[in-house]
Amino acid sequence: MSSLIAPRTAALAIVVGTALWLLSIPGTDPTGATGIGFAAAITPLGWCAMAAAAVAIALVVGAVAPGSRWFWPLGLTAVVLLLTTIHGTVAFASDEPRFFTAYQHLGFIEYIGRTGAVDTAEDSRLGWFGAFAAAATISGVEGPSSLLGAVRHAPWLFSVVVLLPVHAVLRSLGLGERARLAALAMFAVANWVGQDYFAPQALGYFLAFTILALVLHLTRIDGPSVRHLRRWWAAPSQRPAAPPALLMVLVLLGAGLIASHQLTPLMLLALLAPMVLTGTVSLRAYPAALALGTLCWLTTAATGFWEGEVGRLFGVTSSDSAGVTSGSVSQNLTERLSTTEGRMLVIGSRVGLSLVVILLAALSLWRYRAVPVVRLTAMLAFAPFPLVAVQSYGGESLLRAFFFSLPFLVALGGRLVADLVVPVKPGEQQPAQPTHRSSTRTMRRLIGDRAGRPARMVPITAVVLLVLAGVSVVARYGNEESERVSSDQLAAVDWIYDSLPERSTIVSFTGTLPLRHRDLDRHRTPRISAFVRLSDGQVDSVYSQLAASEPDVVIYTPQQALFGEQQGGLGNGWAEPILDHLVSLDGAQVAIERPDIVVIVFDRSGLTAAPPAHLTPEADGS
Amino acid sequence: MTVPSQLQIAGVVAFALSAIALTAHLVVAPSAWSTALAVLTLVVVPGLGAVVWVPPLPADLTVAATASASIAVIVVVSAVTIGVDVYSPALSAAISVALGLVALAARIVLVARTTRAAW
Repeated sequence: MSSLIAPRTAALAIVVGTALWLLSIPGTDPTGATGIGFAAAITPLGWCAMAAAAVAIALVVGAVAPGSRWFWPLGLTAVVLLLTTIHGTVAFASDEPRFFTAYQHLGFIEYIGRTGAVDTAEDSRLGWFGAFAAAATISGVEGPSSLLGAVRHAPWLFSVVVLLPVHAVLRSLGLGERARLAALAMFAVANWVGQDYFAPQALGYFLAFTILALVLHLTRIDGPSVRHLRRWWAAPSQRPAAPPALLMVLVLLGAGLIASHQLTPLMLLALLAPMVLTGTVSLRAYPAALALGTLCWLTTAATGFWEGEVGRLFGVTSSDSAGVTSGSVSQNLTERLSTTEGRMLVIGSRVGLSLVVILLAALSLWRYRAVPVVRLTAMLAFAPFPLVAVQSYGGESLLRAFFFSLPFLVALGGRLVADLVVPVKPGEQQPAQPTHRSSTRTMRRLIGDRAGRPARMVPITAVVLLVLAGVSVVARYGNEESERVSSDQLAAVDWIYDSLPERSTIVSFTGTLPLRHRDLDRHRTPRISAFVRLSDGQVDSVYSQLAASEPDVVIYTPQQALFGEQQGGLGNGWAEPILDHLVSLDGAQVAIERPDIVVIVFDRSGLTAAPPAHLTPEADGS
Repeated sequence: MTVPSQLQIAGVVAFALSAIALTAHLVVAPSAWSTALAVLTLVVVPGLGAVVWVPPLPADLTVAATASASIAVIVVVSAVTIGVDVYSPALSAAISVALGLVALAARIVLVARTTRAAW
């Protein structure tokens, strides 16, 4: 019976953690995000739930026998609980989907669903319209508004479902069960990059790793290495052929990937190339077909993208950032947001988390360097990074390279962690079932061990995992102050779209707003931040450009001001004098004034309806 | 086949239900909840239906491949219909569902053969 103590304790931790997390949701207020992001809004109950998940994972990795019927049900449930405490809390506690770019994607979907066409003049990202078109198809007759629930939960959903192909890849790379579970837990906490929101790249990541897992599973040959390349190419009969049905699936997935995202096929090719060249897999024609398909798409459907951004595509030009102004009228709004406090902590958490994973991978590579599959894993972990040198994509390529490298980094790290927790004797495939002896030490009796190490390592592992999970929340949701979207903001923007005549000009301070989430071809939407950059700090020039744009409506939010400071390179308080200036103009009227949004309407706008009563300045006084 | 035939039959039923649910979602005006149901239909239910998957794949890879293929069908059909200027959500949905039903029929035939052979 003693062998059941560890699984039962892990199960209890999972049940308690789930209950605590559910209880924490009503008390979690997303507006409580500070300079360190959403982490400041998580309640003590939420942190306790995260701790329970970490304890459960540590117990399963260190004390539950691999191969037992409890290992994977408990291990996977614990990892999903950990992911839920990291990504699910913000999703379930928020009234509206977060992150403005997801709203832009909704705009693309609405445009495709309404017009049945794509026009890269509206936005160059429409050059890869496959995922947007699929979402338009799924949203059906009601349109993208029916997708808001899916948008809100997308980060949590993607973070969970991607575990399937990642786990399959880890198994193909020869990891034992403990190492795989440790690697999955590391993947859960180290995935801070934020590419897994409602976006084509999230779908692309899932497709790409499913393709990798299929290729590794079906055509792995463990044959000659690159040193015997000539012999490998000369001996095709030794290569196993993939089943035709699976080849069709691979082609289908490749086509869906090419049509959906610009960078993901390149990342996949970077990962497939070492596998083919080292003779790890036999599927030589597939990467060539994938490359050809990518090139075909780039030169046909996506010409609008590279015609407009060919310099950016090859890293010749980069986004500019300059220009500073100063002043004040809406200090009451901007003072709600901290501009620098905690910012360094967020950046440090991202760098630190990445370095921890890379360091563990490097140590693992050094320790197991004699094992061929470990060397291959290291090669795959490195493979995405050369693309950064070819194409920076506004600096995002480095993040995406890390994201694609992450499953292989944690594969290396997981092997080391599992060996640290339960040492594997030379020549042993799996650690033996823990033996449980009578002992005066409760922890030793609880988990049992062979070498004495697990009794110490389980609590240590739990604490380390909890710390990393906390850091992960700071790293992943550190921009929550500027990325949060409130119900008032969404209601105000919807009112504007419902009330403005076509071809109106809606000016926003930056793009950090659910603007262009619909009707993106029906209005002009210039941004003041662009005027500021072009004006090189000359306030008069900003005002003249603003006047020349003839705005019908101007939208200001504190998040926009903060975003301009943190990520746009604009000076502290850059938005306030502009807001003062706008309010003082003839014909300007503050139609909406709430703590998180101000809408200035001009007489020429021709608005056909009054704003919702709860958003007007009078509503505040009542 | 390494899975019991009862599971295979249950998988076929689940897959058929998922196809019906997706069709209903696309035909009837959806709500946020029906969209969530459609997402579940696309991602989770194919996993249940995947027990009739013909090649001997592990469970995780089977679920991932089936879900990916389900989504990729809709992506490719939608992209192609846009490319030939005939796109509408209803048409793309109809073609996607039809292809799904063909795949389902093929699976039923394969399962029936395997089950008959086993019995």
